[in-house]
Amino acid sequence: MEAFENEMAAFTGRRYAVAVSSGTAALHLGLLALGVSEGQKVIVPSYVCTALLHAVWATGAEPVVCDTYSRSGNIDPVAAERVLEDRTAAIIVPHMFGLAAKIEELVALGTPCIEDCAMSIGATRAGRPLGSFGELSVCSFYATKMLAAGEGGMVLTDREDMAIAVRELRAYDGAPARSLRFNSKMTDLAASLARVQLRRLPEFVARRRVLAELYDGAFADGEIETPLASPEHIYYRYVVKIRQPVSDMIIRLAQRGISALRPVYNPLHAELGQSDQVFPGASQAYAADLSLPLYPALSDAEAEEVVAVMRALTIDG
Amino acid sequence: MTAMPLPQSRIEVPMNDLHLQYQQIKGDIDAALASVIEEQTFILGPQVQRFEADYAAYCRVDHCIGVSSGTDALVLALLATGVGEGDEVIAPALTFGATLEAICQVGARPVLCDIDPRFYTIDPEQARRSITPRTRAIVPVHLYGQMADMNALRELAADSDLSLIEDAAQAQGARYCGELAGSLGRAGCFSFYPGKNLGAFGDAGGITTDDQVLAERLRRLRNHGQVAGDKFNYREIGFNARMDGLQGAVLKTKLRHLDKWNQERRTIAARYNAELGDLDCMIQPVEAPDNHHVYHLYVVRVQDREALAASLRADGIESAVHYPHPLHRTPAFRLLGAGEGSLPVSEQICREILSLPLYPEMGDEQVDRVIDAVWRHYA
Repeated sequence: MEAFENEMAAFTGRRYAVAVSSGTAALHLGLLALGVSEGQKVIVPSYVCTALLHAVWATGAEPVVCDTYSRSGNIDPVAAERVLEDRTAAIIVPHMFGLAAKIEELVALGTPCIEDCAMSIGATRAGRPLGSFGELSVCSFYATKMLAAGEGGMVLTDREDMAIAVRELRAYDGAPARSLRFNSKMTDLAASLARVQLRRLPEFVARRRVLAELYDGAFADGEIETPLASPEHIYYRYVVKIRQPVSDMIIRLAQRGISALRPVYNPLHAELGQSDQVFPGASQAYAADLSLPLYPALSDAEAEEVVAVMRALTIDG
Repeated sequence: MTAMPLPQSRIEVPMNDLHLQYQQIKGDIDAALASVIEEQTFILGPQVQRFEADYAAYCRVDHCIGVSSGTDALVLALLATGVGEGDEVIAPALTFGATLEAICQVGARPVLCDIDPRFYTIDPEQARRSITPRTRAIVPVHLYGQMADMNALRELAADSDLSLIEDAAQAQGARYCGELAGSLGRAGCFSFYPGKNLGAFGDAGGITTDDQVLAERLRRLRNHGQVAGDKFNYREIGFNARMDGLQGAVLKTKLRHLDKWNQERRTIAARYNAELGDLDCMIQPVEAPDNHHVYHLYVVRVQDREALAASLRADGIESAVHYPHPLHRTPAFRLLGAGEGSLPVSEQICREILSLPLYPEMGDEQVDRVIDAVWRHYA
């Protein structure tokens, strides 16, 4: 586990890496390390998984949702700034589906940023690795992630006090029971899996980019909107926008043996009962986004099958 | 305004479409116009009075004085607050020419200030540094529909005993900390030019104020120096700057829809922001804290403005530049002596800005077309 920590710190250029049991644990402990507690607020973008809400709630703080851009699904820094207030203790910045958010603009707001790299280890922003921005960065090593270790997570930081705080929070054994601690360690077994994955990451990213290029080319006629093209995108998810109802399309693809999904379960503003009108970006993304199969083990033939079926159901059909 | 005109037949997404707005409220407008014609009250008159009362109530001020244009509103407001020969008036370098024209027409000298690089309104710190013993007034411009930093400017005006005159020509219904444009200065000057958020059927303007004495002077000045009920007994040398009865009738009718139209503008702006925000090469408008932007114009900044405008034009989409020159670099205002490089933010922004189509009646498909065309340009 320690070896993996060192390798991740080196990979992202961070001074400290603290492995924990999951991405959610990394967020939770990271927030606690920053001193986030009841009475404070944490800004989260709407278009992301609910893990962010749970992690914020676990600290007693209140999540405040802001809108995202519709194309990438990434957090809109202006929308974040608009909901910023004195009690805002942190902003969580996920890089959606493997493409960097405008993280430097969020960091410039002056409120501590937690970079959520659950989907984006291996990607960069203007050449700088994701995982190196903000006060803290968190990773997930869940079975489907870029580094798949079954389960696991990590907090990356340049601040020694943060690293110490997370190390203390993640384990209770062998320490006085004076303050709240958790059992949130990453196992050595998972870490050893993750180390192998990290060595293969460049190869995984390269394969994902090849598949993305295949899809991009196949859908270039414009009926299906392809993801934003960027040489820094690692295509953790290949998310297209379609004109047809997404739920119907998921069923029709499933009937043809293709597993496509909504890339986000439900926008967080909707989970919290807030109006779509205030969140045009997230609402629009949710209404049109469909995640197509893309992973290193996907063969060209399988990708071509996905293309053929998608075209049959949309363009030609 | 440098529009980039298209042959009429090829414009599929125009910058504005006044026909649609008229069609929406045709019955009410036609009836209001007919009543002026019935009454034969073409200059000022009951329709203008009603509009003045309604607009004052809307802006939550005591008085509104209907005048013949936004430019006249500025001229009269400056004169009535005592600005004249030998005085200096601080104004932003990025605005429509009328702001400076009015200052020059009353014999004062405009002192240009640079703008805030995010919000495009006058930078209060620079305004403070521009104050001299001759400074008499500050004219912030609520550019593109967003109000200037009025707290800072009010403080400045109070500290130095200056008149704060709002140029609210582009900001009908805009708010700052909940207060309406035109209600935060000594006087608020509005244009109701047809394409404005609240537009007449020709030239028209208005001045808002809480100051009773100022209001009386403005009513006198707009009507040849005459006082109501004492015709031809000229109290001072005034102007012919009255609002037409027909314009009062149109504006009174349209005012009822202003908040709804502004909300529609905000909704379209929010879509543009959400759907174009991923473009790293484009800077979008930013609503300042505590501001309620009414998006008279949706202005983005890019490095390849001419190329983007050409791509849009090829797709049947109009765009425009508001404004291509900072005022100190135009022939009329070179006499101010502000050289190239003296107002760097305004100068840079003038090279980068492009206004995309935005008007309340714009359909979703038209917004989509603009968004798609922009993305295609940068693909």
